[in-house]
Amino acid sequence: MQKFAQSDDFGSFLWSVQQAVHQRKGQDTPMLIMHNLARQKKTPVAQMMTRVKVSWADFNDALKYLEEAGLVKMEEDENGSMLCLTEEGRHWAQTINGEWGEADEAENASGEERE
Amino acid sequence: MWLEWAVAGLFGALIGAAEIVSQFRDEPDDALRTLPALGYLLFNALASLFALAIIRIFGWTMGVEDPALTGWAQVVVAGFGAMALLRASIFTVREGERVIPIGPSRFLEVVLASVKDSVDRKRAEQRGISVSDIMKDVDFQKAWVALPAYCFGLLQNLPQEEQDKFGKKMALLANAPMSDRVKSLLLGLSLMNLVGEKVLATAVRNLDKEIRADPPPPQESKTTSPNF
Repeated sequence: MQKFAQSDDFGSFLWSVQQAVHQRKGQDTPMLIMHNLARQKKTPVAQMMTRVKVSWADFNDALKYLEEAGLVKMEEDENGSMLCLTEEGRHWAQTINGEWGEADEAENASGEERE
Repeated sequence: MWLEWAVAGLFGALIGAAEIVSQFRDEPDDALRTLPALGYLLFNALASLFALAIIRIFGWTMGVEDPALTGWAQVVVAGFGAMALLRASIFTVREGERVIPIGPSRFLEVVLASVKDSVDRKRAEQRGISVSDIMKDVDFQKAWVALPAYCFGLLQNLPQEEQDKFGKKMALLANAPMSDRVKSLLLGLSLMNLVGEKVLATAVRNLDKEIRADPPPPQESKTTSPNF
């Protein structure tokens, strides 16, 4: 196991993927946070937590994961702790917006039809 | 005489260029060719020229007695002096947990941030087109481990920390409820940030069939062959 962590070519990448895939199976909170941030860009942490509707432990875990992946960062301002996208997170958000924007529109349209 | 002024300006421009290159590691030459980046280089060059003018007006010789060398000593001091002066902060203000430097460095930070935004906006479109083109036939399920591993193998010296970060991103994508096309684009975007457009394109070309999406099954022909 240790030999992967010490490799300097691509062993660390393979090791990290293996670990993360096993840990994150079935957990979609990080992508929910990315989805919300893709639309809002900057959101108070407390507000984000109420939006994604998960337990504090899951939320905290997801936030830590996204920070470690370099997609989101925390900033302090007069409104308290704010969650915002990093530069790479912004690139992801632009692409995610295209994908989920269409899905949201389809969902809204079907909701209106039902009403 | 004019050569000394030119070298002083070049000093300043090189320092500005180094800052921009450090911000845009994937394709630094593209970033440097944008108008805002050129403006930033010009600003740094002018600061060095201004510093040289001040040094000459006050006749500072830097302790060099040889008249032939005094001019060059002034050039070096002007180049590095302007850099140090522009990046200095006189005092800091603490706002919550943030420490804000007050001084010329604050001004330079704001200028650099606006350059960064402009360059980033300008390159976003170009990057989107490139990624879409390079990744158009790539199957995410086949490529999400093989393609990054191959790219990192080509680079050889990517820090472990960056590889770990990338691994986490890929694991996130692999489990995400998205179409494979978008996942492929995000894989391409993230890889391009790390290894650059040329390495990514080469890796996709080299792996070719290993990561290529299967072509859609051929449609059954409506005309049936006559049965003799």
